[in-house]
Amino acid sequence: MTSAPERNIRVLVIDDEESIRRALKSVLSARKYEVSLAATAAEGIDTAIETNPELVVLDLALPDMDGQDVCKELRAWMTAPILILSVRGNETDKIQALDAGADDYLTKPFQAGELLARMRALLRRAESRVVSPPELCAGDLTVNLARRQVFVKGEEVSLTRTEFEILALLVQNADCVVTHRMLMEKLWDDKEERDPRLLRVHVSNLRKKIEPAPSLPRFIHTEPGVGFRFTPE
Amino acid sequence: MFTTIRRWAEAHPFFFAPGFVGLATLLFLPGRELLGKGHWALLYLLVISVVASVVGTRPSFVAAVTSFLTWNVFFLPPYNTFRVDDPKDWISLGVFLIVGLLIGLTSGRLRERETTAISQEREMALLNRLTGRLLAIEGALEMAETLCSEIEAVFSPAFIRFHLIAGGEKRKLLFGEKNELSMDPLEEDFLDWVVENRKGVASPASDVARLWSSGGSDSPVLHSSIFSAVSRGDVFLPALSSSGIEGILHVGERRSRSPYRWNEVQLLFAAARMAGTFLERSRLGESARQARTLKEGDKLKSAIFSSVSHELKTPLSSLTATISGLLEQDAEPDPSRVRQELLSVKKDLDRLSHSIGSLLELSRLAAEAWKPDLQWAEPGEVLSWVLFRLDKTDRERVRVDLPEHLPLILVDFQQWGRLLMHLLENALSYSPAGSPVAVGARSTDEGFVTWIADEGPGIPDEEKSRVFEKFFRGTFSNRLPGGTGLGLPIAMEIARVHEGSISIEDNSPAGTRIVVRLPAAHVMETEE
Repeated sequence: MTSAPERNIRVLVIDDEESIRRALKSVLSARKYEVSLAATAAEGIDTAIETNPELVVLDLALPDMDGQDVCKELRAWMTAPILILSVRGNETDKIQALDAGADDYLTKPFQAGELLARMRALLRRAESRVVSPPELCAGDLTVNLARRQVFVKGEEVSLTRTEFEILALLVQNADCVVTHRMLMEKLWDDKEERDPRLLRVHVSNLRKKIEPAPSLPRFIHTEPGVGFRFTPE
Repeated sequence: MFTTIRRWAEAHPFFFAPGFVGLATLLFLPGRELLGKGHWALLYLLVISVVASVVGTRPSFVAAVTSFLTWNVFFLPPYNTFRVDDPKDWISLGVFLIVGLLIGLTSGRLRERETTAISQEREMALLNRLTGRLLAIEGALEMAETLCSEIEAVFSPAFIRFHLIAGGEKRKLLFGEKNELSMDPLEEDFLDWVVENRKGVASPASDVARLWSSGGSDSPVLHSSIFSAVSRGDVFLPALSSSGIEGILHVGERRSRSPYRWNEVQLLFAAARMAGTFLERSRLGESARQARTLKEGDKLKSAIFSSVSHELKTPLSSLTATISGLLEQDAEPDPSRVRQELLSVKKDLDRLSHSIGSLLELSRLAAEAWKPDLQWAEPGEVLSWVLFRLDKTDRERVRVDLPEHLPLILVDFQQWGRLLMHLLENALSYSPAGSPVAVGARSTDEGFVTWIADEGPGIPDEEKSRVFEKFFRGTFSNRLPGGTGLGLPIAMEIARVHEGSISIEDNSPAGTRIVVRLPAAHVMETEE
């Protein structure tokens, strides 16, 4: 199910629940991740400075600091992805943390498999920021970012500039959540123009062009209240 | 023509009275020599009684005095002077004045009684209709609509508004539109004044009925007594009840511009009071309903308590047994057996997690802490979100039937997803492993329909209505070991908040077909 990373990747887990820390340590160590643990936000930030982790798993409900503020503090100097853990029904906190620099989220309770898949997607994305893959294939869909071409079943599909920008951002962040805000900031420089409803219309049109069954999206999934996620498989 | 004159006369009685006498005099003058002076007196008395019957007592006094003078000047010799030669004519003049005044008084009173009787009849009719209609009404908005339509029919004002004042909160406009263009700077001040003083504000036409009204402490006051030099045709009336003020009835000036009479204002006041009583009654009814809900909530709590004990204790005891068994040192740890045991631990944990999730969800819904965050969504978008949350094996059993083009639906994305998730999980669990579960959706004239059909054993007819009861577990519930009996009630609650419904039908040839309906107001067609 899970392929271990080729080298030991440094992961920092910040969670005040001892049982969760223990469980994550056991799950991650078994897959050759190098895990450091912190129980509070302050300890987490110190440990991050010490170990320079390649990925941070951060619980949003910490006793000493707002999850959002922890994200901001870490983001001030760190580029490594941050995966936040939240409970259902706490959408606002989640969105605030994502806007403050977190990269993706996982709702508790979660399965080990889900956590590992999210982590892999984030690490993959962090790596591809250095070397962006020129082409992505998912089922019948091929996206060539460099040439700005999109093919469905080998036939080129013409997208509007906005649709292509949306697809490109989603594909570059495959398997990771892309928030409405990230998309809108990329699409429209002018803050006045940023309208989530307009964004939805563009996504809907994009789905019609690239989804095998547009009425039941398979590639572009909606993350309610948060954004969209491109799932290649 | 006649009614126009009459209306003018009614609006300007003190111009009409001398005017009418003057006009009569101009008509009489050419024939001055044809009749005796006594005959002219009789004709003048006729004029006075006409004036009295058209515009009432006090103007008729004016007519009597004017007639007295004109008869004297033009018909008693010497003509065109106030002088009277014949001393007998002095007696005639005196008698004429007294009779004229008496005629005015009597016919004027008759007329006023008639007007009062007519308006009382109209008031009674209006109040009767209102009482009858209000009895059959439940909501405040419907009440306001009824009240305003009745008032509209009787008075034809330029506008009618009803403001609601709920439990010391800020008042809010319940009925009637506000036109941004015709901003009324004083309106808010008057409304505030009415709320504060619990009195009406009106500037009715001066009318004898006003003399009759006792001017009690709660009778309406003039606009000008609040803001001096303000004269307006509209009427503000508090909808009073025994516990205070429930709303404000604001009736605009009549479209004909003629001012309201005092007794009409009193009628509107009575109607506003009726609205106040209605609102108080429905408010009290509402608190009784809340008390009932609370009681039901208590019952639910104890049901939750017993279910919690069962739902949480069972997997916990089996977890304890399995894990303590694994920890026992005496047995040889056999890796395949350990894996087997761990799988059963995971199953128990899933069951626990599912139960806790459902209980939390239900308590949130029951506490009405959740307000739906309604947004337009594509039905397939929600369904896809649900499908990708299922296990791969479950997902592969689902057959989706969506037409290429569907309208947008106005839903709380997550909650609507939860609703579909509960129904899908039910269908998947209650039907044989590997059997397909069909999910489809269509737009209909009544709104939007989603269905989920399985090939399971179906739900017996006598259980169909009970499956939505909390903690009810049907005949085949043992097929779903993790079931809490909460899935369908949760789904139903979510549907209810969306003004939708869920019904259970038999699937042909076998199984259950659950149909979820959303009303047309939650559906928006988009062009292809």
